[in-house]
Amino acid sequence: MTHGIVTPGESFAERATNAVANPDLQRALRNLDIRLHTARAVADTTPEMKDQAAELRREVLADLDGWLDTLEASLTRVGATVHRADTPADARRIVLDLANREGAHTIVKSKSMATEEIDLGAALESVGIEVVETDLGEYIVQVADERPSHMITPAIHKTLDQIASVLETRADGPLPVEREALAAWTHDHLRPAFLRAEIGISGVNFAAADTGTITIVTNEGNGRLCTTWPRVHIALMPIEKVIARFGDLATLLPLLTRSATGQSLSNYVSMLTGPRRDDESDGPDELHVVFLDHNRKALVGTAYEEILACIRCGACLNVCPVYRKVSGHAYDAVYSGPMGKILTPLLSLGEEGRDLPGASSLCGACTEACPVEIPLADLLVRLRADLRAPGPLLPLPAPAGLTSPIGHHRLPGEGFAWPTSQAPLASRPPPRSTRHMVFGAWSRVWSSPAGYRASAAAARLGGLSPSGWARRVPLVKGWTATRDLPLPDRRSFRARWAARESGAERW
Amino acid sequence: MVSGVAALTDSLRAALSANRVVVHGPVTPADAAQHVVGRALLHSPGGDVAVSPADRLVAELGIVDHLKAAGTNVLLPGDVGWRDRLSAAGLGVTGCWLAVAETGSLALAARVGSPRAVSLLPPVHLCLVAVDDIVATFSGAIARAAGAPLPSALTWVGGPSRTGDLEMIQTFGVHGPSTVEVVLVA
Amino acid sequence: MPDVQRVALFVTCVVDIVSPEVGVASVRLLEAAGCEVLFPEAQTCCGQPAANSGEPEAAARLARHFIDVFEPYDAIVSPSGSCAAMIHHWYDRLLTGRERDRARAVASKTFELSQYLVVELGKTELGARLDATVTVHDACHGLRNIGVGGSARVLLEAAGATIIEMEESETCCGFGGTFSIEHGEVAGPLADDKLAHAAATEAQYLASGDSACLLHLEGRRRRTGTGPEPIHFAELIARGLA
Ligand code: SF4
Repeated sequence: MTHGIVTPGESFAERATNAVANPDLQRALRNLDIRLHTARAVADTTPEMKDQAAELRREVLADLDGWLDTLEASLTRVGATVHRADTPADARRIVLDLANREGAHTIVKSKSMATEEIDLGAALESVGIEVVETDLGEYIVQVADERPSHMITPAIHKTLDQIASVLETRADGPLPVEREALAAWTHDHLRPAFLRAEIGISGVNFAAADTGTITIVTNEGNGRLCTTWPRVHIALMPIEKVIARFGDLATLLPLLTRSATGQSLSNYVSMLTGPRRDDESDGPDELHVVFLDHNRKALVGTAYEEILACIRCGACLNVCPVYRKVSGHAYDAVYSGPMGKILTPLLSLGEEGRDLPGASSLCGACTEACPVEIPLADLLVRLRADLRAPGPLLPLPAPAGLTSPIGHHRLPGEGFAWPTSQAPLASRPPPRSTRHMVFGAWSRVWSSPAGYRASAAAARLGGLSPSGWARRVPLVKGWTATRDLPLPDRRSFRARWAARESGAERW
Repeated sequence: MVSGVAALTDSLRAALSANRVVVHGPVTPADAAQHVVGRALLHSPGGDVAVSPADRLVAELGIVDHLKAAGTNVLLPGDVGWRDRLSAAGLGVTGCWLAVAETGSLALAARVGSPRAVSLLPPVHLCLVAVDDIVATFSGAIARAAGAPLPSALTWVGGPSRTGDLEMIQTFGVHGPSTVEVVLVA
Repeated sequence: MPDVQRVALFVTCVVDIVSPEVGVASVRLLEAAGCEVLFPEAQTCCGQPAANSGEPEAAARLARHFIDVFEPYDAIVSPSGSCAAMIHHWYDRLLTGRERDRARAVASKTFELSQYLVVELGKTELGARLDATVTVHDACHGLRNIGVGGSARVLLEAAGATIIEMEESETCCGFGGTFSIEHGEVAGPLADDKLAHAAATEAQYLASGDSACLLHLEGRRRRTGTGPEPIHFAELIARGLA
């Protein structure tokens, strides 16, 4: 069992089984259904905006290093300090050093998936620093000693009753199971932490290379507090958060908030350009921006680079039929849902989440919902191929000279026709596994009409039953555990066609 | 052009109201200060009223003087104990750089005399909006912002603090103000 | 366009082996629309099971075979949105060079059955007469990868069927190829949701355009007894043909 997961298990399948069988979780998850309408509204109203946003994100990916250099120069110019971290360990060390230097006792954090990615909270707590998550959902899971289960709504797996009992462990007396009261209690309970914290830590939603402006969106105001009141603000930024121009926010920001929550703009958007200036009364004295790579640069130029276009809106989770059944903990990873199935094995170079890409029906709802048109379902299929080989997952660069056949392949579920999306399905040579051999043998037999006919006839003989259905078939018990298995018909279509051609049968 | 302003004012009012902002006015510049005083006495009776004195409308309308004349405790940046007192103030009064009709957002630019926290720490935020400062779209507002030096913090406020973390039902008043009021000034 | 459309039917391996009635119905619909239907006997499988399982070498082998078999024909029609999508979407990424050009050419004349009748030929009135209430499941690949849209509904309504829309008609039924075997723990509950949404409409039939999805749903329905009879739209319409 992995830490902080309400649906434990050794594999995705085990955790999913537990999730499906957990009635509280299933009840809580139904609250997410409202986001289906959000997704629909986005899909219907903003196709041009999506195209534009997709282009803007890929413009940056085409020269990620260059834009990062520009961003670093701009941040430095406006008085921020840039740190570059190649690995999560580097990033943790940078933050710990700053905390040490500051003699920090209390750190307030606003919601950031990147801090989860580097497991920053635990690192700070291990040296005796009080770390307070301030996003309500994030605070709930922190108090419950669990992990977030959704990147926008971290406690989506909990019902209101459960939330009240979790918060009660930090309260002086019983808390009412009532929303406004719980929100008010949170306000009063967490306010002192904001006032005493020496450091505020946030993520970054967008960082504009031209102006050095970092943008952070929240609804509660905790992001504003974390970046306003403590003396030091540390922003942890996965490198793909860079955008080319401040003006690009006009497109990207409303698209993010619309896709995430259906709001035309988040309740609070903070666009921060450097630390507090001379004689200003508040704002941090120091702003540190930590660029986190963690194997991201290695994706540029491969068929997977488009996952770096992700703006963390959560839409692909909200529409995913699998996520909607099992919730985030079943993925046992920082990032869950379709994008998490892709990012987890890639960022860990195949050390984590190898069974995640297979846990998809490839329905394409994620691809359709993604506001920046990442071909998520395609990337899942690519990962299935590239994860066949055991050992580290190191995708090879896409071949040069790929062209994007815009006009030919540009349907709702096809995503944005970016050249690397046209790369051949496998970027790594196949291993000699049993599975590979079986598929190879099958494809050889079925590439010959005679072989196909013979094997179909054999299957027909093996699977005769009066009803045409089987209740238990050991070879495919994954199917027959929940469903009857259809058997071959007594007469194939081609047999009937031949009978018709010869006049023996009329349709 | 007047009709343009009227239409923008109407759509801003609609968007703000949808965001749970209480909208007053438009009032004349002459009446605006009295309006602010009235809200201050209501929201922070006997307590501090934090003000951002450098905001254009706040300065032009003499809000600080009117509040003082009405007997309220005005808390200004630079006052002794400003940081400690701000969290206990009953009301924060600011102007805004501009307001966006499309999204119902109030854009607040931090600078000397316009701190970030006056609109953040007190439980009620009152914002003065000149109807001439209303822009139609967010992209128009971003274009305006991009055309000038950016402040250390440009904050876009939609309305009272809220969360969706309690079973996805919008719940108001978490960390920021639970009440936001706008006084439109003609 | 010539007066008589000559159409090569790609019946798919699932229909050929498990659901031949759907193939028969497809022929009858195409003929009712005035097409001359050809059945290239060398056809086997489009290769989708391999591609989706991350076995592109095997998939490419079957793709090459498909192209060899179907290249000579002017129009290729299949009663499976998913298989048609395989040819459109993946052949491109399975093959390279000259083979890729051939793949694109074949894809450009490959259609899902309802899409071919309604969009390509503009034939919705096939002379079928149905007195039935139907709810439609929009199978994923047809819907999202080749934009089949509401063509099956158009044909059903033209035949006199009454469509009753269900909740979430565009949500996956849980089939998903090998997923439905490796992740029955999720596939089963997704089938339950689909069948429950269909049942709530009180329609007589649950129609769709992919036989594999329908078999998955029927397999589940045989265990739970919930939901209307899953049926391929072609089979249902063909029942209304004289
Ligand atoms: S992959 Fe797309 S839909 Fe999913 S979180 Fe990222 S931007 Fe949103």
